[in-house]
Parts: sequence; C-alpha cells; structure tokens
Amino acid sequence: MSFPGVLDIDWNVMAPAVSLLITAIVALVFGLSARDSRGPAAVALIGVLTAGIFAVAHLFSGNESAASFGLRYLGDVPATALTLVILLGTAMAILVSWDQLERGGMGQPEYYPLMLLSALGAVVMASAGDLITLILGLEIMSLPAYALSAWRTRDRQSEEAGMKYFLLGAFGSAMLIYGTALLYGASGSFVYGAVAAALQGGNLTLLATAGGALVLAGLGFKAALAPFHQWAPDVYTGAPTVVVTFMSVVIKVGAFAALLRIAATVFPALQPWLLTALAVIVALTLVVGNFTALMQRGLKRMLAYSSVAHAGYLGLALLAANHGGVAAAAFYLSVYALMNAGAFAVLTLVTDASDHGDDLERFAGLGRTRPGLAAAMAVFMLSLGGIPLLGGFTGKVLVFQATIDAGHVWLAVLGIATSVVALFYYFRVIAYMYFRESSHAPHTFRSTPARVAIAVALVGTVLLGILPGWWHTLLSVGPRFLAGY
Amino acid sequence: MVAFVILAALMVAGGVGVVTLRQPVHAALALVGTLLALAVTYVTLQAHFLAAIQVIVYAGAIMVLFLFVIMLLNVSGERTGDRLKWLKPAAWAAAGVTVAGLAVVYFLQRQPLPGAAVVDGALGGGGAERIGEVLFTDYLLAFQLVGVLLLTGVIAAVSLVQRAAPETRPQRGGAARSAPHEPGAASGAGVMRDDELVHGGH
Repeated sequence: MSFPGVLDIDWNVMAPAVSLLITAIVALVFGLSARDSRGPAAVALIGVLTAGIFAVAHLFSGNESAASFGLRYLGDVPATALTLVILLGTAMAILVSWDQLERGGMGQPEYYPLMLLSALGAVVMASAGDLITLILGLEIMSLPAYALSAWRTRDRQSEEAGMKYFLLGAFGSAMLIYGTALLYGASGSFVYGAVAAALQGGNLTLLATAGGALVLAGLGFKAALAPFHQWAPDVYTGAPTVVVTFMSVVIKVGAFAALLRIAATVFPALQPWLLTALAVIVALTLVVGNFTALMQRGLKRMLAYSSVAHAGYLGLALLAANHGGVAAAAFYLSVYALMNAGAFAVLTLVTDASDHGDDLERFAGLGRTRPGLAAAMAVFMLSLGGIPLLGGFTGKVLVFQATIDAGHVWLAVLGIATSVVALFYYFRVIAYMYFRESSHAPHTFRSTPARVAIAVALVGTVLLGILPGWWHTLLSVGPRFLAGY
Repeated sequence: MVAFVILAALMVAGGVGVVTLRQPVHAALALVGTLLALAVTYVTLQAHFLAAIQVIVYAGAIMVLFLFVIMLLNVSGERTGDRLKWLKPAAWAAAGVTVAGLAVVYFLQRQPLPGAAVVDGALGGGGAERIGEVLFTDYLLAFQLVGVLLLTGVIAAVSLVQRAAPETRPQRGGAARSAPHEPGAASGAGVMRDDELVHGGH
C-alpha cells in the first residue's frame, strides 16, 4: 500500500489550530481544579496568543502557497489573515468575559474550552480547501456556540436562544451537507479547485448549481444573510452579552471566510443565475438589516440587526470575489471584529449582571457619568456607521470599490444609500449618551481586562482608519492562492 | 434498478413519516424503516461493510438511544396549539417547491449508473479494507476533525446537562443571580425544574 501525497503535513500551517486544540484541553483539565473562572481565562488567553504568534510567523514567512493534507487545509494569505482576525476576536471575548462571568454567575469551567474549540472550528473553516473540511469546521464552530448561547442557567430567554439557534443551525447544516452531496455528485471531488476544474467542461452544471444554491443557503444561515437571518435578533438578545461578543465576530468571520473561498472558486464555474440570486439576497440583507435596526429600542437587538446589515456589505464583497473583493472583505472583517467586539464590550459594562437593561434610556447621560466609556462607544458607533478616518469607513470604501469594479453598480449605490440610513441609528446612541439627562444612576461595575479589550479595539479601529495601507497591501494577493490549485 | 426504486420509495415514505407522525415513538419507528432501507441499498451497491455498520450503529445503537430518551422523557404526542397558523401550509409549499426543483434537475441531468465491474473494482468487494485505506489516507484530516467534533459535542452536552443538576454547583444557580450566595433559592428553583422535566408529560 502506498501513501500518496495527501499525508504531507506542514506543521507551520497547522500550528494555530493545533495550539487552540491543545489549549482547550489544558484549560478543560485545569478548570476542574480552578477556584474561579479567571485561571482558565488566563490559560485560554495564553493559548490564543501562542496561536496568534504562529499565525503571524507563518504570514511573514512568505510561504504563500503552503498547504497540508493535499489541498484540504490551506495556509495561504487569506486563510492566515482571517485566522488572525478570529484569534483577535477570541482574545477580545476572553478579556470581556474575564470578570463578567463571575459577576453574572456563569463561571462553569467549560466556558473557555468551548470558546476555544469554537474558535478552532472557525479557523478550520477559514483554512478549509475542501467541502468536507468545511462542514466539519462549521460543526466544530457551531456546537459550542449553541451551548454557550444557553449558558445562563435557568433563564428562559437564554435557553430559548440556545434552542432556537440549535434548531435553525441544524437546518442550515443539513442544507450545506445536501448541497455538498450534489456538488460531489456533479464533479466527483470535494476539493474546491478540483470541483471547479471538473465542472468547466462538463454538462452537469445544473446539478452543481442546485448544490451551490444549497451550500449558499446553508452558509447564509451562519452568516445571517436575509432571509436566513431570523435567528440572529433572538439569539443576540437572549444569549449572554459576553457570548454575543464572541459569536458576532468569530462566527461571522468563519462563515464569510468559507463563503469567500467558495465564491472565488466554485461559483464562477456554476450557472450565472446563482450569482443573480446572491445579488438579490445581498440587496435584501442590506435593506432588511438597516431598516429593521432603525426600529429597535434595545441596543443588543439593534446591534443584532446591524450585524445583519454588515453581513450585507460583506455580501457585496462576495459578488466581487475575483475583483479585489477578497482583500476588501478580509479588511472589512478585521475592522468589524474590532469595532463590534468593542461595542459589545462597552455594553457589558453598562448593563446589569443579568444582561438586562440594554435599553437606549440606559445610555442617557453616559457622556457625563462615565465619559471614557461613552467616548469609546461613540468611536465604535461612528466607525460602524462608516464615518471617515475610522476603520469602518475604509472597509466600506474598499467593498464598494470592488463591487463597482465587478460591474454591480446598482448594488454599490444601494449599499451607499443604506449606509446613510444606518448613520441614523448609530447617531441615536451618541445623541442619547451626550444630549440626554440620565434618569437613573449608572452601573459602577469596572473590569480592567474589559478595559484592555476596549482600548485594543479603539486603537485598532483608529489605526486601520488612518493607516489602512499596510494591512490591505498584505491582504491583496491575487485570487491564485485563494483558488487552492 | 427496480430494487432501487422500491427501496427509494420506502426511504422517502419513512422520511415523510418521521416528519408527519404525531407520536414520537411512531416517528422513531419510521426512521428505523428508512435506515434499514438505506442499509439494503448499500447491499445492492456491493458495500457490505457499510451496510452492516449502518444496521449495527444507526438502526441498532442510535435508535435504541432515541427510544430510551423518548420513553424516559415520556413525551406524548399532544399538540400544543399552533400559534402561527400559516406556518404549516407555508412549510409544505416550500418543501414541495424544493422537491419539484430537485426533480427537475434530476430529469434534466440524468446520468447512466457506472457498470457493476467499475463499482466492484472501486469498492474492492465492499470490505472494511478499502474504507480504512481511504479513511487513513485521503480523508485523514476529516477523520481527525470528526474526533475533535465528537470531543466538542461531548463537552458541550455535559456542560449543559451538568449545571442543571442543582446539587453540583448551587451557588451558581440562575435564581441567585442578584445575590450570589443564596443556595436555598437556587436549588429550590432547580428541584422545581427537574420535577417539571420528569412529570411534565402527564
């Protein structure tokens, strides 16, 4: 029996994922004897930083076409860069959870191991070079997310969030698996590049396109693209805010990393109506996300719809995947991870221990009572809204530019128009913080790790706004590496 | 081909039964039918090892677990009133459209099945050897990832179930959220909840 080249394991490529796995197990064992949840948090943070060092070392080693297991696990620039974004989001979530878990009575020892395993799944999704690896990464990412959504004991809302997320997530997974089966049936391969190559001359594109549509729907559930976004508001509202900090960043990055790779390789080989369907989905997401966010009073629910809207902007990049859209989306995801996690970090310090009290009224007068927090929140809101000199603006410009280059001018116009609508609900938060008298005393809960997270997010958001060049240049490699062949 | 059509019809009927039957036990039995028909299909495709595994693992172990859970939870088939009346017809319509779409794709792009010799050559007699070879070469990464997935699932499930038992960590109960040191209140709520869980079906 001879072993073909599929057993070529490049440990530099695997190192971030392996460090996360080992850290999860260490944190799990360590957590059994730990007094409270801060010890495992420190272990988890060290593990994430180790994985980050490996990823950075690989990113700057210049070995852009590295891969393991044949082309099933890729270590190209998009994969490594998005791995870094996932690790950043995970580190922020750990810092935000540091004191908050004990405050909310949620310090079961499995919290951090599950979070690390979920991050591992997202890293696998970002690095996957074939559909099987993608499905397994998606499941490894999702299972802990379902459990963490229901983390608050004996809280009906939290349990409902976990259950709802689980059922709809399982439905999405089923569609993804069915679509994968059809794609395999049409092409005889799971590896993205080989699927695209097999479909080029074949006569089974209709079958493959049906599979591609199901794959798009399945991943659309995870990415919260309308009309598959229905779970997002309820899960974001019901789940503990610290978990939402994690989910809103890491799961979104994982889902879009996979979507980008498929959109750049497999979709061009399919029938063009699939891209039209994707354009309609993206347009719907932009409109539904932004206009529904306008009507929300609770900040968590507003941020949930805002995350749907941001999925729409990222969806624009999917349509332009081979016109610089990948680099634009990777940049957008980096900024999104910083500003969104930052906004949720502020939210954890302002709301009650039970996460209740996220109403806009709660933010009234925050500019006077807690000026530091209010200023940070204002920057995150401005960046989410896309105000120049902040990271969110640069990300939007890059995405719109890629969309226009790809010839979807009307979608770019729709994106710009909905961005203006979005400004209204982001500005409303700032207006409440600075121009309203507070009706009740603010919380005095303070947490140094959460402050560190907010500071990191703040610096990153501003830095990517005024000096976007270096990171974008690093991300701007051609689609050749992304294709995985 | 005739055998396949009969088996496919059985599988689809079982699948529809799982979705539509009111009694959970009946639905589980319909699922057994589907799984067994699938096992027979594997036999007709010369995949004997897979067929045996299908019967032992799915139709055997997993179904027994399903039935145990159904009996232990004492779930009855009562309906709890539909809040969204339009949902059921909409779901049927969506399912119908999906099936029709896939049927159209199937009839437009039918392919002849590969000959028996090709299948036999690829499967190597349907034994475990060929499966093991593929599993530990081509799909080694997937094999390892499934291991990680199972570990994840176990940790997630245990962490959800374990904390519901009030005596393990009473001070972390949800009822004591505002005042963390009230074990009495927390375990009280827990007992009520477990009670609901056991006797809820009566």
